[in-house]
Amino acid sequence: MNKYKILIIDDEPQIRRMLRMALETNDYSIFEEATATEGFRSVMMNRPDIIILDLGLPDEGGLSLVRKLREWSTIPVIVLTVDNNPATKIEVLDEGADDYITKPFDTGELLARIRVAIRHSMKLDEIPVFQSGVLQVDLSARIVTVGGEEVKLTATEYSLLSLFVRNAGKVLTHSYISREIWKNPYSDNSQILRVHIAQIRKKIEQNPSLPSKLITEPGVGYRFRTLNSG
Amino acid sequence: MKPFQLVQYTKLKRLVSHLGIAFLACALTAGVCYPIANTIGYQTVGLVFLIVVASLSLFIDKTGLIFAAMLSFTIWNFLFIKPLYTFRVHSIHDMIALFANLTVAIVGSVFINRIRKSQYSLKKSQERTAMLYSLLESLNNAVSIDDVVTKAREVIRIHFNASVLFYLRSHDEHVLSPEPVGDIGIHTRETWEEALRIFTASRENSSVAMSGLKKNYLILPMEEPRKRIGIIMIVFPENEKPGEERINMLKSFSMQISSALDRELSILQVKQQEIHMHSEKLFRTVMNSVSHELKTPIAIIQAAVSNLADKRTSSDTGKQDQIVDELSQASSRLNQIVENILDISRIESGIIQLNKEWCDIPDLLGSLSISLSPELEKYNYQVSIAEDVPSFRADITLLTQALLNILRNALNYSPPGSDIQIDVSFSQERMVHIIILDQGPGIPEKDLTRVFEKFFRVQGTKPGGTGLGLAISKSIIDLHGGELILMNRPERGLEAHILLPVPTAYQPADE
Repeated sequence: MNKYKILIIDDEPQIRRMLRMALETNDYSIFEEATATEGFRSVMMNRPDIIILDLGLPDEGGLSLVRKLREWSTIPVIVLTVDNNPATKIEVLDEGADDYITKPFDTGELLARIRVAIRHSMKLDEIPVFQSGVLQVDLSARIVTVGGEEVKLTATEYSLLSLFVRNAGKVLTHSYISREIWKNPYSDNSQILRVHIAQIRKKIEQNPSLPSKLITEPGVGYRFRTLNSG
Repeated sequence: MKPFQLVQYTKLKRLVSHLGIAFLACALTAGVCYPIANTIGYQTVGLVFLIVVASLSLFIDKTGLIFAAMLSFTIWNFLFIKPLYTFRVHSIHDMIALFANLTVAIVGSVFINRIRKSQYSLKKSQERTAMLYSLLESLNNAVSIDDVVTKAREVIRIHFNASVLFYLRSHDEHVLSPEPVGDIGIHTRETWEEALRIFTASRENSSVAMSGLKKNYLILPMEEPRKRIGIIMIVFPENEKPGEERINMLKSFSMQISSALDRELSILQVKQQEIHMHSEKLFRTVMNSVSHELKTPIAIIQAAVSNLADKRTSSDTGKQDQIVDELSQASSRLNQIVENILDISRIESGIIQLNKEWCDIPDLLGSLSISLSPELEKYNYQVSIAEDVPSFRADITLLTQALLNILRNALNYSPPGSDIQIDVSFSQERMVHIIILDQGPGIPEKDLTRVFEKFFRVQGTKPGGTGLGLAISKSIIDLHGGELILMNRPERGLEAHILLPVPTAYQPADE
């Protein structure tokens, strides 16, 4: 099988070396660059399948690189940074990055996010029936079952759940969800969203007060965890 | 003596003296004219009396003048108009002349007196304008609250011979500062309590401010629209009372002073806000930098550890060695950052005490070269020391560290194989002058002073530094009373100038 190509753009040589070692062990082929300019050139030359991007690059911010990339490319971008500020996370995701991991990071978590990002970009998830543990979502028949028993969801709840399921493993920002469900990214729907999420959790989570599937990314949005995405 | 009696007393005294003057003048005129009345004629004597009364109007006030006119009328009639030594007048001509004289004397002298008075008040108001102007001028030039207070105090001292206390309100709108602003000796508990009472009462009615009339001081509230500034208290010399005219003048003064104080208070407030915002911004920058500098090596360590934990990686001895190498690099980097943070906080908190010893430049540079020997070997490293450089006293450990940071910086940013040069000389100003030259990219002009700020990194620089090295070097050199100056070289590279003063007073042999 052809190896997936990963481009690492980070100005810390030690981080690059350690990432390279971990990712090569997991059968990815690696390119690395230290600046945004070199990184951009490498994207065009090497056509990576996924980009791991540090935000604090010496020549220009990683954010502006994401913006430039998104003008012509849908290559998944995972942002890797020390900045733990929710506002930065939202900004980066809204600019078109696919995921966000803060340093110091867990290598297993990073690998899981890489797998999710690749699956999405390869359209591997375009399957009519989604299965995660006891939860099954039949996207063609619009039927949700937990342990074989059908769960009744309202129209909005179903739209939300199918959005999460189709983007399983990815963090979805409040404004992205608002845009997709209510077609209005500007009004603040986060209160309504919270209520709907609570309803869905009651119906699909084994312990709704300690959710294990539909989890909150504080200050940013929500993520639907798949069993193999860590 | 109570003020009321005092006022009556001075008025009475003045009246008596004026009447006395009038009486004396008339008596003197009569005495002079009596022997010569037959020669000059009694009509002329009447004119002489008229001239005397008119002249009196220049010295005495209205009551005195009327008295003088009446007296001269009586004397002229009694002593000079026939029949003599009676108050009767036979001739109708004499009668008319007598009353004409009286009327002219009264009207003329009163008129002259009125002109004199209005001239006097014009002069007074000119004086007042001049005083107010001198106050305004000095208040406008004042640059701080203390300055306003000092200048107002000076103007009032010059024009009123009085000292001034200022009580400004504290943070609370309704509370006065318990001590007067500025340094002044005559403040007593009693006067402050009086000021406080008036400040509290003035919220409803500012006329209570006049209560100071009873004493030799005057207290006036300072108020701006919707705002109370405080209280101004003017203390006159012992036994001297302010008087209505001075009170009015001082009221206008206090209004001007209050608006000047208000202006300075607003400026102060804006400044404090700016300082607060700046320190908050600085704090955020420092926190961001600290977390970035600390988290990066931690991220490296964590990634290395998870590689080590992965048997597929760690079974390869080559990779294992590499991981161990990365781990040791990252942990020493982490250690250096923590050390730097501790150093800078020790220096800034003033805990660090210089442990001065005699030190020689060759020793200092020698230990520097040893610390950096593996890196220095990659460069063309040259040292030249002038012969007249003396030994001097310094904290060798700290100074070595300061130089080490600067030299390490030079190495980090210069291409391998380039020149790194250290020149040491002794200047005429008795300064040991160390120059460290490199051929790196230099520092953008706008950042030349900012590089001494904590955690400041020039944009686009290599990772790995802490952003603290130069800040520490500068603090250490400052502690030695020296100077650290960075300059870009005209061709390429950076010169770091370190100047360390060597006092004249000692000889190494003293040690």
